Amino acid sequence: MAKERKVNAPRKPWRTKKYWLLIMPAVIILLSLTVYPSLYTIYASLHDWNLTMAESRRFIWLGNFIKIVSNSLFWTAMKNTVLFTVYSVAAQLLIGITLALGLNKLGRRGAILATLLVIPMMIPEVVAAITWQLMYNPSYGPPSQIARLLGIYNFPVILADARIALVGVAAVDVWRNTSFVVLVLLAGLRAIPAYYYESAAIEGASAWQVFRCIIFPFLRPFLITVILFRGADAFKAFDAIYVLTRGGPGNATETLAYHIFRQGFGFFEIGYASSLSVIMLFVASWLSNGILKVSTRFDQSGSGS
Amino acid sequence: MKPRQKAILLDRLIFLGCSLVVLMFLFPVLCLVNISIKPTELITAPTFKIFFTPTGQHYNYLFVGPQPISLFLFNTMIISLQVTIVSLFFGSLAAWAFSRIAHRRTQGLMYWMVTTRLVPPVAFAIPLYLVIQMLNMIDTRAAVVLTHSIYCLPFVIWIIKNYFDEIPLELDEAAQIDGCSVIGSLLRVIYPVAKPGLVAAGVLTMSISIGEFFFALILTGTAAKTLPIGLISFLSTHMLDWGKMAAGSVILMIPGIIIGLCAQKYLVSGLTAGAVK
Repeated sequence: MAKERKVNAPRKPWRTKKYWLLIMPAVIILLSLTVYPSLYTIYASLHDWNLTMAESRRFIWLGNFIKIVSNSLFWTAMKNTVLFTVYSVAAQLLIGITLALGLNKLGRRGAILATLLVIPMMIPEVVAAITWQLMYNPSYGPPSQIARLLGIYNFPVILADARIALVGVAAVDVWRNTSFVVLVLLAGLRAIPAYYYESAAIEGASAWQVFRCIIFPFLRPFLITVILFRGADAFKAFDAIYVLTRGGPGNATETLAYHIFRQGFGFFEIGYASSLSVIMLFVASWLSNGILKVSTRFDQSGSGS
Repeated sequence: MKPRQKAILLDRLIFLGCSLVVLMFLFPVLCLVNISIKPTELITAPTFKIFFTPTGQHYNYLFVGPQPISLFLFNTMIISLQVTIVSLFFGSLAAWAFSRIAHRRTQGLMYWMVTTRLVPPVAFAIPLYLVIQMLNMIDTRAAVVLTHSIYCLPFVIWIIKNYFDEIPLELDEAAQIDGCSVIGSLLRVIYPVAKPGLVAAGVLTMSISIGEFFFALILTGTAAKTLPIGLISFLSTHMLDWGKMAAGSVILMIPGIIIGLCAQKYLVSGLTAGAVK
C-alpha cells in the first residue's frame, strides 16, 4: 500500500542541516549582539558601578534590585509605562476600528483616503515628536495661534501640565501609528466575502449583530497582530519622550525606557541602570511568553470558524 | 425618508466624517510644511497668518549656512540603506530556515526574538556602547549600521517568516525535484514569490532606519552624525528658530513618504501575511 499522507499533517522538512547552515550567520549575529550584552548587563547589574568613578566598582549582589524596588521613582516609571501603553493602544484601536469600518464602506474613495493616511505612518518618530513639539508650543504652535485668532487666549499648555503631559506624549504615538491599525484592519475587512453580508441582510441582522458575528471574528487575528505590534512599541517608546518632555514635568512622563536612559547615560550609574534593564528584560520575556501562546492559539483556531 | 435616500445620506456622512479625520491627521504635517516656508517674522507672530509669500530662506540656510546638513543627510541615507540590505539579506535567509524547520527546534529562538522586540534599545545600550568603544568604532557609520541591524533583524525575520509560511512546501519540493539545490530553489523559486513580503520588510526597515535616533545618539559625535541628531541639536541652539527646524524635519520626512506612497500595497500584504488564513 502506498504511504498515504494526510493533507494537513505536519510536514517533516528534509535536509535540515542545510537549512541550519542558512540560519547560522543571522543567528550568530543576533545572538552574539543580544545575548552578550544581556549577559554583560546582568553582570553589571550586580555591581555598584558608576562610569565616572570606575575604580570604585563594588560587587553588591542584589543590592541594586533592593534599591530599585524601594525607589518610588521606579514604580512611577512603571506606572507611567503601563498608562502610556494602555492609552496609546486603546486610542489607536478605537480610532482605527472606526476609521477602518468607515473607509471600507466607502470603497474606492476609502482607498484614496487610506493612501493619504500612510503619510503620518512613514514619518520618522523623531520628526513626529518635533512636529508635535511645534503643535503644543503655546507661542508658535498653529493650534494656539489659531485659537488666539478666534479669541481664545488661554489654550492649555499640555506638556507643562503634569496631569495630562503623559496623554500629550501618547497622542504623538497614536497620531503616528493609527494609520498602521487602519491599513491592517482595512485589509482584513476587505477579505470578508460579500455573501456573509448578503445572508446577514436576508436574515435581517442589525448593524451591531453584523459587527459582532461577522466582522469581529474575521478581524480577530488582525486585531491581535495590531495589539501585539503597537503594544510592544508603546512599551518601549523613547524618542517622543526624549524630544518633548525629557521625562518631565517632574516625573510625569518618565517611562521605564527613559528612566533607564537617564540613570545610565545621564547619571552614569551603570549598575543601577543595568538592573533596571534586567527587570525590563524579565517583564518583556514574561510578556512575550504570553504573546506567543496567544498567537499560536489563535493560529490554530483559524479565522474562518 | 425612503431607505435609498437614507443610504445615500449615510454614505455622504461617512465620507465627510472620514475625510475630516484624515484631514486632522494630515494637519500637523501641513503645519510643518507651512512653517518651513514662512518667513521667520510671521512664524513668531501672535496669530496665524494664512496668506503670505513663501520663502526658501530656511532651506537655503540649512544647506548653505554655517552648519550644512548635507553630511547628516548623507550619513542617514547611507546608514539606512546598509541596514536595510544587511537585515534583508541575513533576515530572509534566517526567516526561510525558520519557516521550513520543524517548529519545536526553533521555538527558543523565536521566543528570544519576540523578547528583544519588546525591550527598548536602552536595555542593550550600555554594553553595546562599551563594546563599540573597545573596538574604537565610536563615531563611525559602521557602528550605527551594526547596532541598528541587530535591532531590526528580529522584526524583519518575523515579517518575512510569516510570509514564507504562506508558501507551501510543495513549491520547494517541486523546485528541488526539477534539479535545484536547496539554495538554488530559494533563489530562483521562493524569492520571486515572496517578493511582496521582502519589499514590505525592506520598506519598513528603511523607514525605521531613516528615523533611527537612539543608537545614533549614543554612538556618534561629529563624523557620523545623522540628520535626526542634527535636528535635535538645532532644537537647543536655535531655540526660537522653528523655520529651520521645520525645514529640516520636512527634508527628513520626504524619503519616508515617497517610499510609503510607492510601496503601499506591499506594506499591507507584508504586514498581514501572518494573519490572513
